[in-house]
Amino acid sequence: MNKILPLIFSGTMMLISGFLLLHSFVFPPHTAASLDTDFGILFYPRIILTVWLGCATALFFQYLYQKRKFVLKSINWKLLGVSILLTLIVCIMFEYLGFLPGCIVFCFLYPFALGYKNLKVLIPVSILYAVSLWFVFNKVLLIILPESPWM
Amino acid sequence: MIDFANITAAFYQTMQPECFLSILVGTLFGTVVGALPGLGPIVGITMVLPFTYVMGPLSAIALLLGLYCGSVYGGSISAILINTPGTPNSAATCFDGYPMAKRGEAGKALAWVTIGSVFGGLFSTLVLIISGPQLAKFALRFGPVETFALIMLALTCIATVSRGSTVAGIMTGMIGLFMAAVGPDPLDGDIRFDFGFFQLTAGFGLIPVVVGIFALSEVFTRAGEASDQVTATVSYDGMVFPKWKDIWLKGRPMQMFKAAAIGTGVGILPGTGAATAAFISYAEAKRTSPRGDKFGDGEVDGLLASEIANNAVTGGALVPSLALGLPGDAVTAVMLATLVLHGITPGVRLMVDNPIAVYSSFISLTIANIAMFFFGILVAKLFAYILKVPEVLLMGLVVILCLLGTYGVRSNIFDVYLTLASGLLGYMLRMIGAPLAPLVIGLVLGQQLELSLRQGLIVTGDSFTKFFVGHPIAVVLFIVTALILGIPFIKYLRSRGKIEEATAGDLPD
Repeated sequence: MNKILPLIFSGTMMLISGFLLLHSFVFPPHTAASLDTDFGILFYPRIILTVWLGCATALFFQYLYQKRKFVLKSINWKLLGVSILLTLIVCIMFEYLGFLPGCIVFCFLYPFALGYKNLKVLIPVSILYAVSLWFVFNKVLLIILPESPWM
Repeated sequence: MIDFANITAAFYQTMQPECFLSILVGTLFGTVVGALPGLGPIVGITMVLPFTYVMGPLSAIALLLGLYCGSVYGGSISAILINTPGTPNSAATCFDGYPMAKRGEAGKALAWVTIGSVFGGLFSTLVLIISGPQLAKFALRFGPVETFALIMLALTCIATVSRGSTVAGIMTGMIGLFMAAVGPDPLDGDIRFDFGFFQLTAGFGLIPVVVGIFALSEVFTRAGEASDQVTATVSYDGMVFPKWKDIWLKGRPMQMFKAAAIGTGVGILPGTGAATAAFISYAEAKRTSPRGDKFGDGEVDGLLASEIANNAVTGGALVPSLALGLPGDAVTAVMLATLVLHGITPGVRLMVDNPIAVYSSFISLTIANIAMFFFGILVAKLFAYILKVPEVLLMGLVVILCLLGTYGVRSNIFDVYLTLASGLLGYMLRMIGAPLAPLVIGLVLGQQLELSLRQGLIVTGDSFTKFFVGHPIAVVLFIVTALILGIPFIKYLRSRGKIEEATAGDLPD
């Protein structure tokens, strides 16, 4: 278990950089403009991708053969998963429900799911925070936030 | 020659209510954010970022500079009162600050820390004011080849000096450079690596990536470590300022100047940061102070060494950022990104093209360091109340501000998803112990690096030989880069050789 996470990560990095490098050769982009030089628009990205691939490969083998145990901090996977999931949900809510409902729901659910159960504080804070942010951005700063279909 | 006209104009503009208020608000907010364990300068900057979009460029930078200074100082308050540094920068402050607080001298410790922080901040600002314009003047000689060599050197420094493995540091730097290469090519304007997504034709936005990598991943990390532990503060009844003769105690002024010089020097080096400066300075003070044997038991010299150095980093880090356009850490990278949002291009011509913005930054930094003194007294007094805000409640609010900050740049929901994806990437990098700063610096400098490489090759007629050996300044920079990359490898080979020799010696005949 100690080695699995860094191995998965470095392996994924190898695959991504390898895929991107391959992609640059198999599907080169159409170039509309071309200056009088031997080095086209993929010259630099290919260097970067090659070094990235090299580093990822080196890391992979470093983790594979290292004798020292990889120390992973104790993580509460459940809370972490909830935190990430709720952040994803609020992004989706911003897109489809608008800022205000999404923000109120998130500001209530996030602390609640992470263990803060004081509803007397949570309910007013989530409503007040969302409304004041909406007001400041939409009316004072004039940065239009995602609109709700019902408002 | 001193540019009086621009300095006067910068002073006048900085003293306008919007700009002046921005410095004060930034410093106060930064001190609070720094004092709260878990929130650091980056999270603080992320929280105020959306508000800077509607400000003028000088006010926006003033707000961020105030926040930067305040947050570095604020970390010391919690380090002294609850033995938990608000930011990693103040970790060394705990060594002597908390023992002092435990024996009922919290007010004295906080007063010394405040004096030290203001001194360190002002010292480094002075160095910035003196050396920044000189460095910028020298940098005007730089063509594309020299610029390429300089960026390579900065990236190498950041990747090798940052915490974590060097290979991982280089890899994260490459990820940042690649992300900067997505979208339009800087020379021809042709689109690459967009994979048919319209949103990627403009490339990856810097703000969504920075916010995700640093702030959102920090929230995820805190969520994964969430605990109900309630932190108790030691008793504190206000700051007790030292007498004049305590400041002039044997060897203390020298220690203070040394700590400030170490902090400023370390700050100038890209990728090092305030935490490194504080530890180096603490170790040096312990070695040379006449009271070195009392370090760790609540010695004022130890407190000063750590706090002066970490606050001196703020001005030092701005030297390469403002003079050369090279951000040394994530905070200065966000500041440069803010300049870009306001139509100011960072780089070697920043001081020539936007002298008022640069001089205004100097003035803002000076005011912020002085304001820190007064806000420190206020925040330390209110710290027990500030600490009562539950962390999970605060984290939820930080997530919303992170997402708003990224949405506000282009009003594009794609950036919100990009922030989340960057947050996950940042979390994974934190988990395996890879440094995050090289990725962001790579993203900031990527386009400039590619442009200088390709322009340099055009200038040298596509000759790599002329490119690498034809420009004296660049040659020096390339050699330094090669040495920085090569030294750890040589050390590794030498240590292996020694181990093999020792093992061979142990073998029976």
